[in-house]
Amino acid sequence: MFLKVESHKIRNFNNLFKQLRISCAREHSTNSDIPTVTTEFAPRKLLFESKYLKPRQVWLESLDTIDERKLGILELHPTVFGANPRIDIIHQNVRWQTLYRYVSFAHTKLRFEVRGGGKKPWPQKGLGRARHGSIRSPLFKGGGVVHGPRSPTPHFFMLPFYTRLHGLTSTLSVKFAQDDLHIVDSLELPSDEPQYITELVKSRLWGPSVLFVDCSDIMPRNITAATDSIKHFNLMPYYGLNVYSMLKHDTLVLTRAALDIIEEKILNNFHRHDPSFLKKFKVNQV
Amino acid sequence: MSGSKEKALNLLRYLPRISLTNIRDNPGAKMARKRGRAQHGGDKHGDGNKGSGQRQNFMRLGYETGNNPFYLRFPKEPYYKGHHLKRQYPPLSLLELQKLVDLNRIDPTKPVDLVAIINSGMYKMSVDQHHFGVNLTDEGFEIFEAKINLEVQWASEPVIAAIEKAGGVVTTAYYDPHSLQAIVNTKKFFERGIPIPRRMMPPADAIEFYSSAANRGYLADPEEISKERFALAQKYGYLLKRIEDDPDYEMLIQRKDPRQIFFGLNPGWIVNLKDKVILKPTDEELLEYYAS
Amino acid sequence: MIRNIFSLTRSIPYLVQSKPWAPLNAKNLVSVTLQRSFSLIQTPTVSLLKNSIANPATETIRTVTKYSIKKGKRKSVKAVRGRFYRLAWGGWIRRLAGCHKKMWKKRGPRRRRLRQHVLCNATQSRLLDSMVGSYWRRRKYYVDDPYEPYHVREEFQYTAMKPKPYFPPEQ
Repeated sequence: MFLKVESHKIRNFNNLFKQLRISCAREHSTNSDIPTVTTEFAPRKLLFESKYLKPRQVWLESLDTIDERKLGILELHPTVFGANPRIDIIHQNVRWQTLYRYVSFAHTKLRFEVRGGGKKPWPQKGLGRARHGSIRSPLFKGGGVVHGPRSPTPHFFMLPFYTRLHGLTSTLSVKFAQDDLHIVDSLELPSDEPQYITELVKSRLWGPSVLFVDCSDIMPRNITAATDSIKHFNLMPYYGLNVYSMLKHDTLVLTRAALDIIEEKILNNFHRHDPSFLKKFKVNQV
Repeated sequence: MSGSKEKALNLLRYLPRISLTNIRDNPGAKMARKRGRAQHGGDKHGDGNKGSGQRQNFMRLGYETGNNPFYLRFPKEPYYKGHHLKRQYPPLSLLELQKLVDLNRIDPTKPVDLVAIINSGMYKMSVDQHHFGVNLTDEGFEIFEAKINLEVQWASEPVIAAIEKAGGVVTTAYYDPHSLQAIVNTKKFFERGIPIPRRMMPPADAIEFYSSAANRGYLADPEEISKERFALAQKYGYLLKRIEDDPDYEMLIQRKDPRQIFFGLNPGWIVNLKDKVILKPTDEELLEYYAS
Repeated sequence: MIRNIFSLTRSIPYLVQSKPWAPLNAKNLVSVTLQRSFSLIQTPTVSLLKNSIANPATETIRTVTKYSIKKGKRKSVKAVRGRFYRLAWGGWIRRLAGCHKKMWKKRGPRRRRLRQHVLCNATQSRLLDSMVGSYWRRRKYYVDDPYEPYHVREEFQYTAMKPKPYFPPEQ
């Protein structure tokens, strides 16, 4: 598809970039016009550039049409998208995510909780039987359990900060390495039919399940309406990005603005020099 | 290092998609908990037979079943006499200070005091452990070449010589524990909402140290200090340039008042971080008190 | 009961800036004397008879309190504190037994040997560590400390703190 570039709509590269950022703060427009995108786009400026690591490159795509349309090449920071794919760290993160909120309601009764067993069953001496004090002792059938589960048992724990951070970078690197990461200019769709988005995903051979990540929690109307009924297409703001969701969904689609924020936050956390934030996590002092 | 990373990422392109079902921990990461049962670890579970050990009725630590125990055999010695009164100065070497300046953790274009050193994040002290500030040690004496206006709490002669040889200036100043609490966690102190206190004078055993020019004390006569600077240059054999001719003269001459804790903030002021406002006292009595 | 109160005023002169917050200058300085009053109170003499009766408050306690009544903290055994000194690397030193006794019959070399402070062995050090609280096991940074050179053992690789300089192989 060929876009006619109207001269009065050609803007400065910086303004275009700023427009993309500001649009996330405002409510998205309800009309479903195909946004006019210039054939040229602003290249990304990487924070904390490394002299020794090469930046990764990814296509900038669009959701305007069902067929793939590449708008250009963007650079990704190697620390975030070219990190060591630590499977064990990913596993630890997934385990943490599932376990920290888990409360076990399994319960067994102790010997004093089991009904009965207050009386000495038979005299101490004379019967030739073993000596016992109560029929509900753990030795007896039907007696109390000594070290059994006691409900409710929380399994809350906090994974160390940098393990969680490396979990995110490992997963993003894995997604990028396995061609499951796509960068999109924005989540504006031309139509709000679920048909449109399913055909789009199918034609581009994106995985059965797709996670769309944007920079704000208020998403464009069309995509919200389209994905509402489809359970395997999910929308997420940037702050909801987590290892479990990224692995659960086959494909990860980030908007350019979301990519900027995610990279900025991850890199800032890697380059912090004050360890005051590493104090022991206390639930009542969040 | 990067070779293995690249290899791993390239491998992933040909391996199945990583999902929740094909991830695991590194082998050996988790050790299976062994229950003590039967011959190994079981039976008496490491307690032995009868006696105080198995019956968990142990003798007190150090007891030697009646004879004169080890810890009572020797004469007393006043090793720890006055330990609770002695001041401690966690050390910071000249080498470490040079590193901080080189790695931009300390800005040498401004006066460097205890606040700046703590803010660099590489020096820790805790007031409740009787720590009173920085003791600048002479490790790195040969390689020190940063020109800074430094304020520490304790410095020996070779250290002072090293700093002055590099063209800098050093002062030793005393901070009392209340001032130190304000310095060590400034944000927490400002959130308390109390006025910045006056720095107290050094105690009797320290006042001599901080009044002598040889130690570059903050209470010493500046004329004496310049004499000592000259004498030290002669002793250690380096050329002492006139400080007035130095382009950073204005910065090097900055000193705190003996009652001042922070540069740019006077005692009696209240810093409101939330509204980003400084409240200053207007009452005459208060002004007189804080200026004394 | 006799109480004698003696007061002494000691004046400590020092220099203070007349204009605070201004650059330190000889012109700005003003001599101020700090007045301090010290008072001495003589305690009355107590009859010696009182101390002969065993007082529960003065009985020696040799046990290690693992959880104190009021704060739930571990307490030290005072006997250990009075006789031993802990070095930062975990070693403990002590005086030799009899270093003050019957010196008149001990000749020079023997007296010299008794004057030495001696290290305790590993088992003893471990025992002493468990008999004192965490405050005593923490590193102390005194200035002009006579024991300063003994708090560090650089010659042993196990206790060395500073990294060794690396010299690349000559080729």
